[in-house]
Amino acid sequence: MEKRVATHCPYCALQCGTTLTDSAGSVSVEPSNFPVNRGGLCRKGWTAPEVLHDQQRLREPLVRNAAGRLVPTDWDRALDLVAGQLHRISAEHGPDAVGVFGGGGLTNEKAYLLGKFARVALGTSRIDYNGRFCMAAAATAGNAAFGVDRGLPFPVTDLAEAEVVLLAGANPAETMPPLMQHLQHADLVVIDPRRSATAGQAALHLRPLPGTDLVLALGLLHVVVAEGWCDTDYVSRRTTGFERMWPLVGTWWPERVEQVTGVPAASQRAAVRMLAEARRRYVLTGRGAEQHEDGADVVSGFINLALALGLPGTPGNGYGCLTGQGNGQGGREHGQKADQLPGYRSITDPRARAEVAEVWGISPEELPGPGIPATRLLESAAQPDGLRALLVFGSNPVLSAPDAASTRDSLSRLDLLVTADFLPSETVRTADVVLPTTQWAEEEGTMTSLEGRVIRRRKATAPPSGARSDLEVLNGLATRLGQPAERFPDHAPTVFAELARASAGGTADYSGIDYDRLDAGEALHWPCPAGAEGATRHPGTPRLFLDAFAHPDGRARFVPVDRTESAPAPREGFPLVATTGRVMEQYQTGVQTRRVSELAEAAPESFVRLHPETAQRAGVVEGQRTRVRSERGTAVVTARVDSSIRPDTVFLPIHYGEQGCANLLTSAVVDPRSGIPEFKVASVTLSAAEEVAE
Amino acid sequence: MNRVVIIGHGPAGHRLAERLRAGDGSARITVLGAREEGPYNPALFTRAMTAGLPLEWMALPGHDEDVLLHRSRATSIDRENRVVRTADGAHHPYDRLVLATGAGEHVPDLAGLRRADGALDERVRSPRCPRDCLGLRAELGPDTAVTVLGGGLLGVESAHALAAAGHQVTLVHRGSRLMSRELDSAAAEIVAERLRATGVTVRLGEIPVELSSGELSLRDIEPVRTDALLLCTGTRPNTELAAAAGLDVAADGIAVDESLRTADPRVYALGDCARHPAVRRGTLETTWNQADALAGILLDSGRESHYHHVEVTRARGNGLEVTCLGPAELLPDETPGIEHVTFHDRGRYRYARLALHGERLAAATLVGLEEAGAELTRLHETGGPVPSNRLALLLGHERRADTGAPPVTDKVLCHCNNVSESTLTAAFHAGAEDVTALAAATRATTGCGSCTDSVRRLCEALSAAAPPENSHERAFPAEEEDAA
Repeated sequence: MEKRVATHCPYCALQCGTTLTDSAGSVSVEPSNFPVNRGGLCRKGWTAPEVLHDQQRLREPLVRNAAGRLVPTDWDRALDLVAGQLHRISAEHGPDAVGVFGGGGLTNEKAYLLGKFARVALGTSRIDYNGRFCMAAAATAGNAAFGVDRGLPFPVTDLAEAEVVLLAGANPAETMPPLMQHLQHADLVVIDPRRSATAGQAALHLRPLPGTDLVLALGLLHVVVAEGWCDTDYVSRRTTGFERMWPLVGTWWPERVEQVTGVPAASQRAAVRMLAEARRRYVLTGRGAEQHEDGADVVSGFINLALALGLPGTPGNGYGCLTGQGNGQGGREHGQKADQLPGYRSITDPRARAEVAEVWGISPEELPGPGIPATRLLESAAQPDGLRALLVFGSNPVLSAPDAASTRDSLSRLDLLVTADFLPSETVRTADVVLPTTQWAEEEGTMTSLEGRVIRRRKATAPPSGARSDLEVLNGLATRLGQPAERFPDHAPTVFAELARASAGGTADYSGIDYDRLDAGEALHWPCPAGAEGATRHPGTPRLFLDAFAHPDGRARFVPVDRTESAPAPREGFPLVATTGRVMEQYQTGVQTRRVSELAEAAPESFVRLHPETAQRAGVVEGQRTRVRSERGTAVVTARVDSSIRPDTVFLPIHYGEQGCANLLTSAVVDPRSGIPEFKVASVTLSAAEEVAE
Repeated sequence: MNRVVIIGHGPAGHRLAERLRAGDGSARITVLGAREEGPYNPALFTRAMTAGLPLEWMALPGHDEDVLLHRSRATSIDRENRVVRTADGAHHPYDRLVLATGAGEHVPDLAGLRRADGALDERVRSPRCPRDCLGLRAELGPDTAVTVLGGGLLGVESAHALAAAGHQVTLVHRGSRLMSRELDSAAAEIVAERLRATGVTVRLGEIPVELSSGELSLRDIEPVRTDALLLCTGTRPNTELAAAAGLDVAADGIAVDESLRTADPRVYALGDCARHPAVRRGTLETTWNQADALAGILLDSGRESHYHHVEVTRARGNGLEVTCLGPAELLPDETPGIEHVTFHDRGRYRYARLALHGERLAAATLVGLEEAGAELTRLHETGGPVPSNRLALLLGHERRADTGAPPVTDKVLCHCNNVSESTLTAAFHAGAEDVTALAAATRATTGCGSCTDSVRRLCEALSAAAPPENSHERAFPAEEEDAA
């Protein structure tokens, strides 16, 4: 008996539409004609069903025994054990000794219930999620400039009409290939220290030294204003703050910017000319611009550039951030972020607290205050007054957090580490209790894609008998912690209805959305508030800012940013800059994709990409095992030598574990504005790790 | 107590005050500025001339209340009692004093430049003065003839910017080559050619005699039509206060050591008024880098206790790609221990001269080589090794396949789904004879879609090559198949 179900790919934020066919438990996938992918699908998407039946799929709860081994147990014992320990730790050390770590791949329902579970069932403020590692900088800068943070404030398909698109630190040709069909007609300006697949398709490629993106953004903005391209009418009608921003930017003329970034002044001028002379143009940022210790400032720099050109809120133009994780957008809106309540509302806003507390049936005083961002949260496990227990849902911080060796050490000091996952990730392998969960094609739910559109994930096949959905897990733990069962429903549509109510009046207002509308095929982008009884239902908001920005005065803000450090100098003994990124065949820390035979064959192991000059100097040749050492640690990877990268820079992919883990090299320095870690710059040195046979 | 008094509120004093304020809060900062307005950002002045950038857009960021700005001219320094006096009679006691008095326009002794009362003639404008730049802009019409006097860096930049904006410009220079402090004769010649190509009339080795009504007369040849004269004849450091206070002052500035300190341990100087032992050609970037370093020194932040100078001169202007690195005296032949590399492409206004000391760059001049200029500047600043392939360095690194791997015989057309030409060909022969059918059979084109054209071309080539009887569209099975 064959069953066909319309759903979406489990991986990135593009959320390509797919049709799954379940034939006697065997699942196959085809791309659908969904607007973002229009029949396209990348290799990861084509092979995604293989993960459903992976041999190492977690099928029963595991508990670490006295001998230190993870051994099977049953659900009641596992949940009793966890609840008992959490109760004890909370009673002895206070509720903030228990932490929760979520993920940007969780459905909206899971993200929402996880946030509620932390604040209500655990009473802890200590919740954050792996989106802090990818979306935090763009979120902070977007909120500051526009008063709202939605990755793309316009539908993806709008990009197809663009004449010029500037991609700052984004490599969609590898990270979300089907997006590229919307960029086919545009001339691309790509900012990337290496010639990525996207840069290879660019009309103009700017190659800044990693860590100098802010200066480059300031330089481009300088050219816009100094050469008379600034849309002064737009600036005066729709923005504030130009006067405070410009004097700082005025000090970054292109030739000075060249000295810091290594990008020729002529290329900066060419880039601005292309953008300025086009009628329809977009500025898009990705992780390359964002994952920096000044990441929010970098994004503010690019938003300022877009504002000076008059792009945001002008039809056919815009600024956007290419969200990374599958539910990177929805995952940051419903309360798993340290300082947020559902609907993208601040946990410090008394009105938001009162409204959400009412939906949750508690008093506002019972709600904890803001917690601490991810990197600090994980670090606190090693501190005397820090975490004693941590629950990890849908995330693999052992590989994804910066300074991997220290993260692993911190987590090892916990009294209790619990993971809810469907595959034995590196974090799962270090846990004390492992709770096996269902995955994408085995469950119902919603996701919010990079364009702010709420979409349905549908069940196509039965999960393994021992697996439970994260909602069931939360219900099981909450009831054991004394919560009424109905407060933690495990039925996705019920959770969504509550989420929608809790988001009412918030920035990301979902209150007008329900499963019936989504299942009827409506394209609903938030905000989509519930109308009055009997009124026409809100059609959603595909395009934001057409009339006004979300600040009270309706204007966008130029945020004054500057770089006061002079040109970055290499550290003594570490002459090269290592930067990190992605390859097409792998997703995030590779827990899913490394198991797919076709992908593993194509991209089997970690590597370091380096220029032939650099290789020669380090005494390393193509294919050689190579030691990459920073002040934080050492990775051992295979050398990949070609001239697609600057000679002063090397590149490592983020998808691998063990000695190939790129985060062995990074440090836990975070951006003071957003909490995003510095993943893109680490000072390193190279040496051969083995002799090569002649 | 750390009372820092800064004399001078130009780009040097302004930057230092900003950096001190951003520090640990231990310094009480007073800036004594002689001017009623400003300071302005000199890097923007040519845009005032050519694009009319308004005065308020040229202002450097305002200070907050932590910086006490006293707008009055400093008249004397009493080093013994550590007090500065200003023209308004005020006294400013200091623990540390910084001289940031900058440099003044050098006005050559040329008839007609000054009026009878000693002030400059109204036709004479300084590109160092923002109001002069805006004034010049205001009077520039289609027929206005501008003469730039002086062929140093500022003269070259100004002439280039005005000509690029479509104005009539003549550059008159006494010397035989432009930017003689920075460039050798070959480079200078290319820069002159570049200026001519932009529309500047370049007059080298010409001695100006007199500015009179509508023209600048020259000693040997006919006069140059001149409605406005832009004075680019250099500057003189403002050292009078320092000299009167008994500090060591030479013609090229107030002597300071590596830490920007004068002989008086409580008195420092930076920027255009100072003479640092390592600085040969000071620029605005030099001044700001000195301000950053001096802020660290004065706040005793534990960072480097001296100013580390990297000699970089980069001409400003769209199309004026001139980069000078390191001491120019290392560039001529026969410099001991130095290997030289020269690239000279006069027809395309490109020139490079590198002075290499082993693997390191000692000095360089680059004209018209954008990528190399940017890359070598970074190498010069970081001290990194110079790539062994000099030609690639100068003309661009980007070569596609240089890994030494054998050439690929079966080309991958769809990188997103790793579909090779042979796979597609096999699928074609198995009956998938258009792009849609090939996509369904192989997934090719379903990723980023950039291979769609290649797949279509392959399809067409295969269709053209395929004998019709091999087509799967045969209406009837062949007899052999029936027989089988």
